[in-house]
Amino acid sequence: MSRSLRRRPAARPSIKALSSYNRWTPLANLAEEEDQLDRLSNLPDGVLLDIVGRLDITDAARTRILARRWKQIPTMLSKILLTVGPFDDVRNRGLTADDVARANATVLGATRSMLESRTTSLCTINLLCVRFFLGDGTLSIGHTVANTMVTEKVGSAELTLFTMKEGKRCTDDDVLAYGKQFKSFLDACPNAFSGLARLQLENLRLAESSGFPEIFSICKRLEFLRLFNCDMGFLSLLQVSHPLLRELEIVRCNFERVDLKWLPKLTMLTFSWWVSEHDPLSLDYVPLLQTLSITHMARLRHKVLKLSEFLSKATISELTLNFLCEKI
Amino acid sequence: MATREAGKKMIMLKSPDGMEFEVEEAVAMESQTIRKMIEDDCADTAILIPNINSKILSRVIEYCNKHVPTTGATGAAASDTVAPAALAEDLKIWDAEFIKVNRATRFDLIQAASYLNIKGLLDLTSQTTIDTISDNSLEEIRSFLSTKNDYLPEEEQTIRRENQWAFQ
Repeated sequence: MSRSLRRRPAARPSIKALSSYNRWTPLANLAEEEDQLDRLSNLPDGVLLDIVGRLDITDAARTRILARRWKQIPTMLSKILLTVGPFDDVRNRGLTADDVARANATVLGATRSMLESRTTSLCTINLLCVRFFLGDGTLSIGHTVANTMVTEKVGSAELTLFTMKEGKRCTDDDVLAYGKQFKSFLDACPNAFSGLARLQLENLRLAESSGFPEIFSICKRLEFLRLFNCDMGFLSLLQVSHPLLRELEIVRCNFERVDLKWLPKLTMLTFSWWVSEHDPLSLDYVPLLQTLSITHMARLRHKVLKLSEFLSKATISELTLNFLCEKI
Repeated sequence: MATREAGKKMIMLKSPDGMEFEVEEAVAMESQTIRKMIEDDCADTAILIPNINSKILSRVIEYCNKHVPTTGATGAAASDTVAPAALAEDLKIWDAEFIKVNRATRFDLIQAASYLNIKGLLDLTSQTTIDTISDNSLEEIRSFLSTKNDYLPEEEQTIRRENQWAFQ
């Protein structure tokens, strides 16, 4: 999101005569002089909003300072995407605690100025997407998001939580510590989660006592969940039941097995890279499951996966298998 | 003005300055606003397009005319994927010529595209403005748009502080 280097101002576009044919008006308006009226600012709110909505959120926020006319425009946006950056890349983050604190401070500033300054409840938020780090500032961002979700009508809300270290550099202690941080965030700020449609988590080891089932019971409106390198202890068992969940991605998680117990709306499942030597997945009640994507590279100790047993309870119409081995 | 072609349903569009434009229904329906009027049966004789003078309306119709055959009835966005590459390239060149207008006309076209809800035309007409805002400092944007900063110094300070994150 930072923009330390700004490009030099682009040259003003020159005005050339229109050479193309004009079927409707032979007298096209070519000779008019550039005028000094502020034509853009005089256009209706909806037009300015159309333009501001095409800017990235940082540029959109900066327009508030142009003049009074612009102050409220960005607060009427219906799609709000606030994300830490440029650290979104999962690989090779190489971040320090300072980087995380700074990135979260930016997102906090953004959530406050874009969400708390919304005065017009007439403009609903169709899409609210906030991506930030677990760490300094997490809670303040969470509270701002929670307030917005309680006081405004939000069509679809998404949270993505990054950790300072990327997955492959996380030790057991790291995932335990991140897990604890997440749990205290969830406890302190359940309203940030209860209305979520989409949630993406990574590098968390949660306690077996509450763990992911607690997330399923708090996030009542959840439709999409992605877990990357998450578990409740090495070779733990994850049971999933949720009335609305439609899409589930479980990638590089250290579960012994994932039981899809009761997921009446689930249509898509992505399941990749597991550690269990036994069948890593069991499908109980997944009547709408259509698309299943499984990726794995087995080691010697892994059991051969028998697809027919595995899938006997589901009516899959699209199956993507990407096995870098013959244990299937 | 357009001549009636056999088998094609025509729609009359009227500008506030009294000009009438007869256009094919399919062309008019490039505008989601007009499409909605037609679908809701509010368009039996002629549709008055408020706030858009005949000069601008004729250019909008010219744009829709050019873009309708390749996009079909599904909307402007489809043109890039559906049309063969050569056709898409031709449209791009045409668009680049189309948008060579002065600033006043460009903002009038933005307003028309926004009101009539023609996504492709709005993308095309607002791109210069968007680039200007993305690439320049506030002072430069103000000067480009002829926007006068009417904040009191302390007001500006407050709003700047509130949006400090956007300058980091």
